[in-house]
Amino acid sequence: MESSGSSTISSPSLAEAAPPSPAIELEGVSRRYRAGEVTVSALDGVDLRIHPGEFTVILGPSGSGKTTLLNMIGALDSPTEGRIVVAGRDITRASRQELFRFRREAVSFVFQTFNLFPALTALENVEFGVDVSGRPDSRERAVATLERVELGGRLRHFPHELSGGEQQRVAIARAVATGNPVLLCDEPTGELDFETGVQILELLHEQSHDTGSCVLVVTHNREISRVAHRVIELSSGRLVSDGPPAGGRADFSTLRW
Amino acid sequence: MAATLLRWSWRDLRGRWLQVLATALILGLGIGTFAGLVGIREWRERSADESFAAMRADDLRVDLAGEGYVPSGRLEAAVSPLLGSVVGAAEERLVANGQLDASRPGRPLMVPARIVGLPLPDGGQSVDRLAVHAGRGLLPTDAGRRVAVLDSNFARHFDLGARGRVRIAGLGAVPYVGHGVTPSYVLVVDETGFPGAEASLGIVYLPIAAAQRAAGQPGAVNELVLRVADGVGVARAEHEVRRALAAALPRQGMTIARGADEDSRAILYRDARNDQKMFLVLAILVLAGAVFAVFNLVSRAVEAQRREIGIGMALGAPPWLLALRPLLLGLQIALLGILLGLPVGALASAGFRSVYEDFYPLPVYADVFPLRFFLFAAALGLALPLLAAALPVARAVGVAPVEGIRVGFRAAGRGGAARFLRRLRVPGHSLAQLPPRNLARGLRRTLLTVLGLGAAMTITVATLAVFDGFRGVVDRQEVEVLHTGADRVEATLTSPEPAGGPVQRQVAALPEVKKVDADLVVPARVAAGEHSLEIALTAIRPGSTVWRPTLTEGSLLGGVVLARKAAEDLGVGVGDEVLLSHPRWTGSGYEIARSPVPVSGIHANPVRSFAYVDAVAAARLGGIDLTNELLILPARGIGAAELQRALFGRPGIGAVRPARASVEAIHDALESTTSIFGLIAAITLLMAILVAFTSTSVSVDEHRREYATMFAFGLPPRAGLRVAMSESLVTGVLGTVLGLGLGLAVAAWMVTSLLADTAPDLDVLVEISALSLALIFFVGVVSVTLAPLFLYRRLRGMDVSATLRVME
Repeated sequence: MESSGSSTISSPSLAEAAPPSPAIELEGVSRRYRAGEVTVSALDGVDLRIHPGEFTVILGPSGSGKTTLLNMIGALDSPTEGRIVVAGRDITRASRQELFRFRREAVSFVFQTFNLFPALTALENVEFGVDVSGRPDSRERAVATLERVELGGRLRHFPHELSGGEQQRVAIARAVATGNPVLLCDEPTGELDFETGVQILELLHEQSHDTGSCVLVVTHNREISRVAHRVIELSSGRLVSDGPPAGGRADFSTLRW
Repeated sequence: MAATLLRWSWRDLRGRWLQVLATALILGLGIGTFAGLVGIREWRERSADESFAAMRADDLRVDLAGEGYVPSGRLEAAVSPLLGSVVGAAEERLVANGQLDASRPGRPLMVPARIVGLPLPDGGQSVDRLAVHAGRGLLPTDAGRRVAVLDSNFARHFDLGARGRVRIAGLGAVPYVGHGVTPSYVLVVDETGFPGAEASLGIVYLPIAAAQRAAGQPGAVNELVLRVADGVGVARAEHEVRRALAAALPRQGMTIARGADEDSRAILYRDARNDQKMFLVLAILVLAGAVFAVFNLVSRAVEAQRREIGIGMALGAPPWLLALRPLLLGLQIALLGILLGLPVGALASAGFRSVYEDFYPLPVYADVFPLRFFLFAAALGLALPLLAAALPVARAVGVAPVEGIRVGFRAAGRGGAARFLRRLRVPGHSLAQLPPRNLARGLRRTLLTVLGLGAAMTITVATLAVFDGFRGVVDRQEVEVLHTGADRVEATLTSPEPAGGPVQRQVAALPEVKKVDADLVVPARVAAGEHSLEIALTAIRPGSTVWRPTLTEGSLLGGVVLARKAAEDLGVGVGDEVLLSHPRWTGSGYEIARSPVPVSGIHANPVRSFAYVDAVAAARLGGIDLTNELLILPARGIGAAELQRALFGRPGIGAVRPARASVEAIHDALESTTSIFGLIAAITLLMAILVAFTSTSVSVDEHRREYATMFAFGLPPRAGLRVAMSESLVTGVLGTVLGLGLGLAVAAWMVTSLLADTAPDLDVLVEISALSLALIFFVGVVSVTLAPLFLYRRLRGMDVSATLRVME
């Protein structure tokens, strides 16, 4: 887990360090919904490139299109217009079967509401994610990942026997254990208290740092953006800013909310 | 992964075992009842085959015409040259009409009797063996004694002991030593071909010598029963026997009939065949109701997993993997249902069989489990729950994953009626809005529940309506037969006499008699166009007051009065002309004449075969004015039994029975059918209750987070219970109304389409009695509304924080 005594740490020069092919690439992506007689534009012409190893925070108020953007990248939803390429795959042209495969092999989700299977234990929930991703040694991977999120002593507990923070850590373990290159987190700290929230963020940061995964965290909590490599801000479905956090990247210990 | 899935599925099963068990039991009831009902025909036919084989039933029967008798041994001698080559065995009998008094203290019982005199060779009869159900049979040592065996049908009907004493006209007191049947009287059939005549006809088996004394024909016989030799066709044997008898007894009139054509046997097989059409429809309805209900319940249980399926999709799990868990649930229910179907099938079969065992006293009942019907139903029972599980999965994986993981996506109706109903506001505070809103929000789910309950109620209503229809026939017949002169006694004369003839005068002079009317009852046939019916035509004398038919239309004068059902089947109404085939006196004997007559009226008796003409018209048609039946009212202070006793054994009186006996005969004839319907109604009622419980249980599961939220806000469990019960009340009322409508339509179809074959003589109307209506209301509305009470403990024991903590 990364930790520093200073209030800010120097962010790597992304322009210099950027690899030639982005992990996520969006071109002119729009998503419109019909709500009765009205057409709502959730995303409007978004262009975006995110590279492996980046810990990116997507900021914006409720209804700004953050979750829609995340769902598009994760192929949970499809855009009305535009093109999305993730981990080298154009998911806007993919078939249904290819999308299932894409979700198994390329992306992992951490939901605000955890979305654990209530009838499975913590270990089984994580094991299920690994099994689905087709990685070998699912049991060992699951145990190791749960130990990494400090839930080694809670392997056989069911979700209702765990606190909210523990459930979210199981959800993170399930996502991380798959080893997929893109980790999509929708308000992962929204249901948690401050301390647990920071722990979760540290975990996610560690994942991007240690494995080179591309981690996208959607939040409306501006404070969280201070520890990101990159902050993308959405408003009314449009990308209004994109860059490193104002004042440089801060240490986790300085977070307050 | 497989182990995880199995564990997961096991936990699903453990978490909702009661729901799974109840759903499986519904399926088991459907499968078992289907197999039991569809297997009835095979069981009845095999039982009859084996019984007739055990009784060595005759292939041919020779009856001497009219009152003809020949000395004992003449008939056997006539066919003896054929023994071995054409005839396997032949035995003489004496069969005569008589009267039987089987009264017990406080229970008078005097009926017309059929005396059957049997030979008693060592080793039992070689043809038409007497099969014994209680006590003992007739032994060779009984040959010279006055000892009897009573017909099992008669003994069961009047609950007579295995041994006792009866009086037989012409023989006096005779001990009886058991109950039994022969192939001719497995069913006791009256003159109109209606089974169940044991209520008014006692068959008595006697050693042949005793029967000859009772009939006043010492040393005489009038019947020969034969079994053809192995490998010989019945047609050839009939020809040879006819020739041999004609040669040996050239002046003796006789009829030769095939055993298989005999009423008792033919009706047994015909009923098995015809009844099965009705049972098949009922079986299909019960199975369809069960599988539809199970389909609906499994479908809803799987729908409840839709969000987890959505999460699986988000994780990239392939659809086949997502389908496995719901399919396992469907498979568990299907397998458990099939397993439960086995004992249910065995119990249903035993229940249906016991009805027939009471009704048909066969010596052998086949031991057949309706395996192939069970397997058919089981295959259906296996496939449909799997399909029920697969369809919601297909729907769940068919949407974009983002919608799949949305809370309540599938549950919430989003358009049309749902959108309108969602805004419905009922009087009361906010809690009162929840039940209608929940129902409107999940309109598809609500409709499925209503349809599932409606399916179970449809079959319940249909069964009860036909059951009540049969009961209605008995009630209407009772009202019609007993509307006047209810305590009258009907006496059949041994031979017809002119109106006011000597027998009538003698009877009228008895101190026990208040009034006597006479009429004439003859077999006839009525035809219109291509349709024709057998009828019992009664000529009512002018001025008869003891009893007259109730006319619902027209008048008695000027034509023939038909039953409503007869007129309907013939396609005629009052004023239309029909062709009546009836006996006409030629001066030296009778011939069958055909006379066109108008339909003058319609009577209220629900039995089609009763028809009436006025005696003046009858005399004109028949060429002679005769009577052969007396309707006798007892004097003041004299009971029908006392009157019967006074008439018993009088010269000229052939049979005496209270008017009520014909009502009992109809009641008995319908008993097997109504009992089967009663059993099916009980099964479907149980099914409906299980559907009610399971639907409610699934519904409570679906809303558990809402209940937890209510409890978190401090509402007591009874508030949640009130919400659940209000929702159940609405679905119960809707399901019951649907079931009533569809059930009555199905019953109407069964009555018009099926009863034409199975009970053509009866005017069965689709009826719902107050009791049936109360049962339907109780099951469809009350039990459904109260079903959440069974879940009260679950609501009260809910771990609110755990339920709210888990974000599913």
